[in-house]
Amino acid sequence: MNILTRNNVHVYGETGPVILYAHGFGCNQNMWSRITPAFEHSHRQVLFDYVGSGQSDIGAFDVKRYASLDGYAQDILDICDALNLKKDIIFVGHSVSASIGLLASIARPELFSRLVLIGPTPCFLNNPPNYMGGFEQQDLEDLLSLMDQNYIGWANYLAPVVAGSTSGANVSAELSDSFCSTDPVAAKTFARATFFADNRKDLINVTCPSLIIQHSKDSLVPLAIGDYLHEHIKNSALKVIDVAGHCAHLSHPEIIIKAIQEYLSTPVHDQ
Amino acid sequence: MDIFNQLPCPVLITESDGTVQAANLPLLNLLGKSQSDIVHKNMDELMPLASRIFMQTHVFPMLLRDGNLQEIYLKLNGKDNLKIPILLNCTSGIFEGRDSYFWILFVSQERSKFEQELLVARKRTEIANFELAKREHFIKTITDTVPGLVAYWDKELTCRFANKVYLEWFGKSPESILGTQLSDLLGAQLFAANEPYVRAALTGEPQNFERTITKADGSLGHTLASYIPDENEDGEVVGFFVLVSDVTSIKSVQTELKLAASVFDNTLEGIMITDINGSIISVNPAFTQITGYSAEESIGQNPRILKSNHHKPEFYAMLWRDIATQGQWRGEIWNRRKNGEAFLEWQTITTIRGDNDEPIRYVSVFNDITTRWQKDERIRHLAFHDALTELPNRTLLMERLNQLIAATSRKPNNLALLFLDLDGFKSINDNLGHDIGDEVLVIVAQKIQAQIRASDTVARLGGDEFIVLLSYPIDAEESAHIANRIINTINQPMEFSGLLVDVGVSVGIVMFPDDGHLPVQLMKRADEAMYQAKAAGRNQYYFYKHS
Repeated sequence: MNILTRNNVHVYGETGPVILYAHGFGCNQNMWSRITPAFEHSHRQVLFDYVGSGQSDIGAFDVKRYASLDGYAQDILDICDALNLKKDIIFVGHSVSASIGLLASIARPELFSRLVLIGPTPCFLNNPPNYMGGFEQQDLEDLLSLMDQNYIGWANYLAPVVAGSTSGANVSAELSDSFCSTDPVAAKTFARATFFADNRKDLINVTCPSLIIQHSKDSLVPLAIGDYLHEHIKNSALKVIDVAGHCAHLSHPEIIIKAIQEYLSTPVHDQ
Repeated sequence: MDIFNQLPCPVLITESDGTVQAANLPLLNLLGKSQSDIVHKNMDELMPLASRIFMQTHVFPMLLRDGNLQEIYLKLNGKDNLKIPILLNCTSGIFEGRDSYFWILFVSQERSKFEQELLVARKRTEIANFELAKREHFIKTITDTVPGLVAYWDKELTCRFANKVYLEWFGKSPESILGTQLSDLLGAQLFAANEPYVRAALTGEPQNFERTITKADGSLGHTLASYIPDENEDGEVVGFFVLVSDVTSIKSVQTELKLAASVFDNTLEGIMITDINGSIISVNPAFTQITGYSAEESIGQNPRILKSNHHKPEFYAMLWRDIATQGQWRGEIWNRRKNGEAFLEWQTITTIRGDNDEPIRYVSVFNDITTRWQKDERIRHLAFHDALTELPNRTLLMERLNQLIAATSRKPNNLALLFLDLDGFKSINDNLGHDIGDEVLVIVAQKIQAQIRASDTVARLGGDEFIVLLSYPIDAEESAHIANRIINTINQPMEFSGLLVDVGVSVGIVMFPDDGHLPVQLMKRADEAMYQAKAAGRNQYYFYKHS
């Protein structure tokens, strides 16, 4: 299995510190196209798609492995090893990839020098009274149902279901490519892994310095979550950006670029 | 704005981050809100949470990438907490001088209801399919675990199912065998052989038959095949199940068993098998022939029925000790036939061990060597006896003499050796013939034996010379007395077909230890005494005198 093909890995630039970009749920590596030009002369940039997303090898999708975020964290570690990256990696992750990056850094702390977390949340679900992730179980079940309706064209609803086929590989070819993630089984698996994850207890194990970028009006991640993370992650810095939405790297790339550049130029011990 | 409000579907204009700039009347009516309720708020707030997440994870990334989208299915929060299903189209543009998105909404209440039903139906199908797949997997696991061949052929003789063993037997992959014609798979020859069974199965008659097939690896396999017709609800045969057991190993075991059984039945060796408690389980025909006991008479009995009284308990104890320590005993043993006759057998007793190495059977294989033993005995007898008179010969005589002399060193004793030579025997031979001469010798031998004890020895040296060895004579007088008796009895005339024959005997006597200590010396001196008896006038005895 060639990891670089499996994860559709692209490396831009020859020299400089490595920035590894990890896309969020529902997205793929193209989402970083407004960020990467700013670092093309200073950094070696690595982009990839998680197995099941983008142009990854859907044949490598394993429902068991990718049912939890650890499976996605393993994708990141696999890629680092395949590229022979040993240390000083700057990890930039959006949304669920912030959690995935945290897990990867806990597993192999020596690989990473800094983590940039855009719109992170350790848990989407409400766990009253101490933690309000923003969503109830039913909201997330409704989301999966919405995904069903949007992902699978009506023609596919009427088409016979391939019995016993769990990879979804046979179905995916016929699906609309309007979404970044095109495989319904992989997308639903990723959705469940993302929205039902609870990584709050992992935060104490993070040692790598990190920057938490919190959108001020994020309909997915309540403002208080940024404070929660800052409080629970050692060596973390919190930056609240005045952006509505959850995808500042797309809607306001200049803000994200500036935040990253400022963070990278600040010595760790000053934070 | 009039046109905006008169459009037949809800329309929304937002800034690029989703902040509402304007909404037309159809939308406001749908939501049950006024323009001021929603302007400057984020359009997210018009939606249930699930739709918000979808907006953030799918809709905005797509819009930001492509600038437009079509037919996205979402829900709006309507009046009275109703969730209104909508289809969403969007394109970017400039509104009031700002980058904006124009959203066209289609309320798809009716359509959504059907779609919802379809969705439920699909979910049910998915669950049913999953269960079906699970069941199929279960059945496949079972059929693949079965060591036999399992397949299904429809009535067009197309393969519809084949288990792992079936595939391996024919060297096919699961993909390549499905849809294969039976005639192609079996080849013309085998197909022709099987076709009658196939046809019969397709008429609803189950078939069972044996077949030898060449496997994909070239080896020959023996199979036991069953064709089981498959009927539909109307009783029409739509195909048949094939169950084939590979009985190659059973066949070869069977062949070996047959061979072993044939050896068991036809060998000349008697074979007796007992269980560990010594109860007879099986005997072969040779056993019956040798012992006289039939299988019915023997089975269940203890081999003691064969026991003779030839051996002491120690012999049997040793035999069993050998079996216990070495697993085997072989040797000669005297047994007794059903008719009471003792017979000698050369026997091998072997322990058969079970899977756990514990003894479970004893197998006794034996030959009847009685006849051979008798011949051997005869040869042995002839080596030490005179063929004519059956008396011990010189060799045996000298051996006994040696033994007796040796015994006197432990227990001092007298011995007497009488050297006999018939008088007038040569003329009997010459006048009456050797046959009469031989008969005379035999009668003389019997006469001498009648005069002595069983422990004494009479030997014939050859010709008309005999030796009498008296083991325990009290003194010379007793020896002289016995010599006299022998002379008298030999002097009695013998009758041969009305012809009376007289014969005399001269006897020389030596005493041990007085007249010599060595056998040869004693023989020589007895001979000298015998000649002195002859010289003194024959038909008398004479004691050896030192000269």
